[in-house]
Amino acid sequence: MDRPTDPPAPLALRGVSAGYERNKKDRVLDAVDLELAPGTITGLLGRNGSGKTTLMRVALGLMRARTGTARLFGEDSWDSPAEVRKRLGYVPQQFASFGWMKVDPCLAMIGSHYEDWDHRLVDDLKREWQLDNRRIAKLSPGDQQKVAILLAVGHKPDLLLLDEPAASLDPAARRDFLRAIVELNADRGQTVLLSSHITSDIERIASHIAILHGGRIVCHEALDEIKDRVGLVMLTEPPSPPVANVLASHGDRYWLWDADDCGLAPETQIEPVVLEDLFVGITAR
Amino acid sequence: MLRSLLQARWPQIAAFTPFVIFVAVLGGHAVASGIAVWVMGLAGWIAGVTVADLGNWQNRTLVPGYSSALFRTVLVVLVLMPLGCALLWSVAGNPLPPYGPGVLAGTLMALWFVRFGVSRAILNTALAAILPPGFYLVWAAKHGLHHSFFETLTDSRVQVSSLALATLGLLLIRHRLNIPTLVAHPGFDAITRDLPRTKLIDLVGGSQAGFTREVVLSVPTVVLALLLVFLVGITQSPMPTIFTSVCLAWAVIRVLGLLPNIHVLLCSYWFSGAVATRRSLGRKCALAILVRGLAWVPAGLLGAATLGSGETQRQTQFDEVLVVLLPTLLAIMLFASNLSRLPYQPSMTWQVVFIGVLSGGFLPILRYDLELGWIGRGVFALCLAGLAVATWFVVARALARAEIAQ
Repeated sequence: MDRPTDPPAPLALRGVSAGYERNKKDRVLDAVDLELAPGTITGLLGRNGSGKTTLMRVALGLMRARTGTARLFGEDSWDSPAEVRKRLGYVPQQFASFGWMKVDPCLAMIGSHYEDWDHRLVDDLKREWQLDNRRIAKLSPGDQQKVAILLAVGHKPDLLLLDEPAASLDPAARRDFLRAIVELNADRGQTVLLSSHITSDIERIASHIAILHGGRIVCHEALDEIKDRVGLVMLTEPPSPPVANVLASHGDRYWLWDADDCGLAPETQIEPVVLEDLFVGITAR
Repeated sequence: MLRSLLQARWPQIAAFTPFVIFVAVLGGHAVASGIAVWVMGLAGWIAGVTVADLGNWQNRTLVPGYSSALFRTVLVVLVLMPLGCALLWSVAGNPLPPYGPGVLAGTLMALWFVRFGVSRAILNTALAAILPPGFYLVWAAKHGLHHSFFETLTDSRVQVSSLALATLGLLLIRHRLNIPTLVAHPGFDAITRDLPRTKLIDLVGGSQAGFTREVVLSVPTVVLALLLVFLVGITQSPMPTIFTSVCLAWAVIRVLGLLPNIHVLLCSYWFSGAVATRRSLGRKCALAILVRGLAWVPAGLLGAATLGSGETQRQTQFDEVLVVLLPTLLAIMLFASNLSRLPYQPSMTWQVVFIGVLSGGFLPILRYDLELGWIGRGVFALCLAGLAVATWFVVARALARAEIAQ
């Protein structure tokens, strides 16, 4: 009897490098490894220009990796078949759409491309977000972003890639948006890769985080686990090896503490870490 | 059979119909004088702006042969179309038109924009290629020097050397289009965002939210159109020129303003699985770019025909031809630009019926003079063109809604 095989990961990057210049030494991504497990919400963090958008473009097949492989549901993202592409949803950093169209016709037009467009979901979100049926070009940037999000989630994709989707949303709309993502994830086991600089948003909904730094993924694990492992400590004097090897500078007095048995004095007070500290600590190391 | 042929080949038909009509009817006249060089500069301006803007698409790697599609448009607009006109003109026993200088003017203008971007459209257009030759040519025509200037341009040495230079220019354009980030200077988006609010922009575009590509690109277009009217009106009958300018301005505003949509469409097609392979996406893209490039051609070439018409005796016949052809050309132009504009196209049958009714019903009225006089006929033609535009949008929207509802 054949042993059942696991379904392929929604997204798997192996040794991916990519860049924009002809000079192949210029690499925005350098040997990136990242695999998203089905049903997870992964927050992608990185400094400005670290390559988050490039990573998403390679993942979507909008850009070809120079080396390595990028797979969507087991298929090469560059040559992904139509069946795989239908399972993707993408919100780009800068929304571009038919500015001359009104919201409803635009949603109807894009929706007509998909067999299983969820009109109810879209209508509900539109109502919650108080999105008027006006010309898209006349909408505020925040409302335009809401349209982009509706266009990306309307066909209930299995893999949703969101490139800083909530940056221009007001707090209430951002909360609604995050709730919609969580509900989609809960209902359909949708896999989400969410890039954002708003760490509180990621902290609120992500089950995993991936930190892109220096062209590589330097951290990819469950958010709860890493929070359990990491804390902030206050040292009165600079640490000496081996303690220094597991610490990272964070301001003048705080140091990021990582791993058990690091040699710190038992009475050292460890404070819980928030994602922002974690990000700054890891990218500063 | 005809229906299936139309359904299968409508984009190609839409793309090439204006070209064929122009070459067959007006093309010869358009390149028959030295002013054709100026007109080719205009063609180069539009081609350059088009490819410079389209070439900056960040996802261009999505479509195989994207740069080639852009370059093909440049070749068709700047080289093949004038070549067809020049050949027709020569075969009819006329002196060789200034093909080489014309292509060179267009190539240099296109290269300018491909090299420096479209961020200084007004300045580029005014200073680089339009004003100096434009003023010179009008001045030369006014003072009877036009003939000698025309002879100079058609001299075989000038033709060959300008063609050689134009080839070099085309190679440079090809090279630039292959660079992943086409324009190194601050791009169009930055310009449209950061542009200070001015009275001119306010007049054209309205509020701050109106700082779109359409607005910024339409400013030099309208300025150019007015300039055309002013300059050519001195020496020739202004009526067709006004009409031509309006058509040109309209075409440029509509067509160039819709540039971003082509990319949205391509991405939609790709991610929704509407196209199976990158290769078929590439074919769609190449065709869309070509249609987009050619959509403005009738209006631009009407300008060429008007400007190139020279002699007074022939001018009368020309005006007649122009007035007769304008509604048809306008309808075809609408047809072509709407192909790339409306992602949900009304069926081919409806479009053919619409244009057929327009051409078959209205043209005889114009053709067989209603004794309205030139101004009256011009106004009448303008009204018809406006009616055509309005009807088209109403019909297209209604049909599109009906199709969505299905």
